[in-house]
Amino acid sequence: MPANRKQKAGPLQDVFLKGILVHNPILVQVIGICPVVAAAVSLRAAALLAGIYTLILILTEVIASAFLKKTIRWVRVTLYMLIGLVVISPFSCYLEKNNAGIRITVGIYLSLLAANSLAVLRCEKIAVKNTVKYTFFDSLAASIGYSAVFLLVGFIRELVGNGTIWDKPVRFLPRASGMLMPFGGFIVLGFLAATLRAVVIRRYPQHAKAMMIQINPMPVTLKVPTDPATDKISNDTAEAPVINTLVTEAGTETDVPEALENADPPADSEPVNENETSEAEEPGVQDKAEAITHGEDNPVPSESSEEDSGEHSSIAEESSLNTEQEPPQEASQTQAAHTDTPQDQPEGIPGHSNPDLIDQRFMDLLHFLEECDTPSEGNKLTDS
Amino acid sequence: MNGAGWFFDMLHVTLYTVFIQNLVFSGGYGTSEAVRIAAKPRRLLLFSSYIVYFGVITSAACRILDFIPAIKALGDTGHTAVFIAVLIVSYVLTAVLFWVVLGAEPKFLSQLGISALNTLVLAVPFINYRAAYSFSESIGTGIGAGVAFFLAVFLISKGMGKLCANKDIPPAFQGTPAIFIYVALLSLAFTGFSGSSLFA
Repeated sequence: MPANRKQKAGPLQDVFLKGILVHNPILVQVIGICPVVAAAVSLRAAALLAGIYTLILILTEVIASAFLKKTIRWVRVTLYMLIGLVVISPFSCYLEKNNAGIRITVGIYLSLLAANSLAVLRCEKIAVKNTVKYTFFDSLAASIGYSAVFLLVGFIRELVGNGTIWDKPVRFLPRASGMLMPFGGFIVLGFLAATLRAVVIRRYPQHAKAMMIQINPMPVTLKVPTDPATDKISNDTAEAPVINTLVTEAGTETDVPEALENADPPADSEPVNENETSEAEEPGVQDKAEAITHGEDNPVPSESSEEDSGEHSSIAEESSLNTEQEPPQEASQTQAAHTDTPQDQPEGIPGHSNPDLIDQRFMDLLHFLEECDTPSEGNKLTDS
Repeated sequence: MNGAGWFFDMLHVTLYTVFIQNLVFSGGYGTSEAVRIAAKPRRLLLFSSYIVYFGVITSAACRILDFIPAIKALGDTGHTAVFIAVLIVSYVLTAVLFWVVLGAEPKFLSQLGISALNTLVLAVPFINYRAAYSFSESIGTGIGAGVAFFLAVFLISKGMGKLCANKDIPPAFQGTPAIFIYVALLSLAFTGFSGSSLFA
């Protein structure tokens, strides 16, 4: 996928298919979960929140596309919240006066819709980089996908947790009040996400790959990196993944080694120049996922950086929870560019032409074994 | 009220917010950010610090404003507007401070925006308002929000790595579905702390 490709307005059908299924905001992109897991405990509440949020999302995106393209990004995000507040306030006032029951049911989550991350992410990724017309249809598709999940979750949780549908009792299922807790919301989302994946893999296999996610979690540590090269590289680029797992369409990793072998060789034979690496890796990072590449045509240079749209899109791209993934070959090239620190680079290990494939834990084991082989005082393994 | 009383009020609310009613697992606040940061936890400590900062600032400011009778008399909608305005003002002032005084890059300011303008931080003054917390308790909620977020992301991140490496997961459940179910189990664990039951 070219690094500087601006997202083009494809056919309408494709836009809706992707917005609702392939790039579903909740089930695939993991955005805007808060009201779904916490407030969608009944179909009525879900319908209310979904309807209001559809309005917020479409209005915010259209306004962002029409008027906010030239606004500084860190100011723009505050305007999204203000737009949300303007939309929510009349509904909140009306419900307080006329339907206090449902107002109590949705609680503070109606107000929290103003801070929903879905609007921010879509505005920064799509709205400010596309025409108003395309933005409108894209936001409509995303809101349909979002609302559909919202309603499904509300329906299932009310049915199983309360034994009712739209407050009318249905007595053929035992009640499990645990479904009304956030735990129930997450469980329902998990199974809905699995169902969606299965449907897309079967019915739209050409889009199945776009749904594949790549999660490269770094080990959480409170240890301050002592090597400036490590810190510099990791700050400027996507981190060298500790666990490389590319889930292919077949659920195997057969494509990964081939793709990585075909990639440019990593800088494992000589110390990494951190400046060169960071500069060289920025295009690679931008190649990594489509959402990062959205920033390339933006005249504000900072918006094309890895940290585009704050953490939202950058997390999405580096965590690859965003489904608009590059093909594995490009991902592998990016991964190949993201090398480990020099001291972690294995040298001359037979059978491993690409050290990026090597799990850090395996490396630690190798080092441990080497130390064990070295005779030393107090080495329990060599003591006889 | 003496200092020790203030401190323990703040501490007990912090602990409550982190363990008994973890804002992420038991309330769902900031779950999107938690899952996304869990896939890239390198900046977790910094992000959590920002959340603590904005949570405390927002709590303190909203609590002080609530002493004004005109604001205290507002309904839910009025309080929503006040809380959002306070959050935006605190974020903008902080961003300007970093930008003008410290010369922060726009990239940093974007990160600051994400850590400030999210459901978790915005939920803090609402929780304080609904629970009628005192000033020190409100500060505890702000601190607890950041610590709860840190704990949530830490736990999610640890499991996410194992889920990625597990090739036995059926294709339909690989990735996001497995993460949701894992987070559900974590949420269930924290729900147990509150003494709730799953079946009526």
